[in-house]
Amino acid sequence: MITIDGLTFQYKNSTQNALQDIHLTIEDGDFLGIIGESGAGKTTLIRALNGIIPHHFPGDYYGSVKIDGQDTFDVTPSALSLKVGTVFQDIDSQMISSVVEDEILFGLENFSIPREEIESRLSGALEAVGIPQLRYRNIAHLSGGQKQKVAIAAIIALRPKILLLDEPTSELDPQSSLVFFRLLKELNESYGMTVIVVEQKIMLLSEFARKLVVMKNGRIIQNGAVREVLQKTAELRNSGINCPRVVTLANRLMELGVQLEGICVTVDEAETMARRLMYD
Amino acid sequence: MEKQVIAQKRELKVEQKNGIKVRDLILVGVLLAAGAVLKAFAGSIINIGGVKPNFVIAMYCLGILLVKPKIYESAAIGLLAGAICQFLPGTPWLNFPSELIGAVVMGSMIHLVIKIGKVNFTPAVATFVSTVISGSVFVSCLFLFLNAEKSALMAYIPIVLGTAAINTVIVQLLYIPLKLTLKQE
Repeated sequence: MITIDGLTFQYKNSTQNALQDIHLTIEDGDFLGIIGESGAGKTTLIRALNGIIPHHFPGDYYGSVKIDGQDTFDVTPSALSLKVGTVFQDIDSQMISSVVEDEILFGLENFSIPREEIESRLSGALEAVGIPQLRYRNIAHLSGGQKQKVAIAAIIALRPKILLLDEPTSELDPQSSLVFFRLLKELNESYGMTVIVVEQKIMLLSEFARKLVVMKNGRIIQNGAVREVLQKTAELRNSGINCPRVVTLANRLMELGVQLEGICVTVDEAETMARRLMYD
Repeated sequence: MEKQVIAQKRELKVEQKNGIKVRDLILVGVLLAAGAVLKAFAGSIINIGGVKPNFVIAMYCLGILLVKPKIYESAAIGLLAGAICQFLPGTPWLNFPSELIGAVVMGSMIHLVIKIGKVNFTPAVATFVSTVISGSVFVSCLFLFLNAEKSALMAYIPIVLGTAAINTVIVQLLYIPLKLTLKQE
């Protein structure tokens, strides 16, 4: 479980807080989406979760972030990385090897995983993200989506409990983004991995995440189940977030007095709702 | 009335490590490598009446100015520079004592403040003195250990002084932009 208590952080040489009094609890096995406009503090929150803040980004730090009761302030990010894996926004900066196999081996060897366990972890990670055929390929020749999968494979080979992703689909086309989120869902459901993803594509979050956090000016302004948060269309719009059209449609219908069981967050749900309205 | 809890600012415990930092070591290594390459190639192109710059000395002077090491660390940088010189054309072994002493002199002079108006001339003065001393040690060793012709002594004086002058210009010119690039205070 992750517990963030009163976290406030200001980068060195900055005049305003990047995070302001954050309180958040994330249960084991959650699939949490974080959304907000640029400068809202999303990336800073990810950095605080994996311990990069305060260990590599100096600044004024108040409050605490605890992973299973362990304060990230007191342990190094490398010690945390067996528990918390991170996929950064700039995927190329994360790659340190030229071949896929070496990229995955790097973490395993550096964390002294026993030799007899390495092969099963390596092939298992490649299988889990569906890229066993890329094992001996040069990373420079891979597409953006394939590189994302290599980065995830390198992380899940270390079997962390928590997977952090900072705008992982920013360089992916819509179809690849969808495939990528299906993979995250699979990791979340099959391996019980806690997934925390910063994402600008609200449609993806509304379809795949179970909980949603909305940030603005370093603060959490909405936090709850996806459907619950998406009902607050006006508040989201004020935070620079446009709800998915199906959500806007459902909210508008409810405002007009149409009796609905709840909002719909996917196109399939909207279709079911529309059919019911027409035929009931 | 609701009680307001104000969180305490938290400070990381900074472990004081002895010795030169990895970042500084890399910087010195890169500068010495650049000095070796420049000495091997550009050194023979820039030749003013037989006087050539000694880029290895210039680069360790620059490195010591930027990194501000302790005296024994400066000595290690000097020995490293002497070792690099063994791979370049020249008289073997003599660069070990000459660069060692040159680097120690540089390391002991970097904290001096030599200013004219607002301009800091410490890099220039320290480099000039270090190069002259390094050159003097080199020439002394030449006469002491390799029995060089005594009549050649006079010929070395302008070469040492000329090299020191060129090194002084190189270091003074490179110091400020490099310092700004590395964002050192």
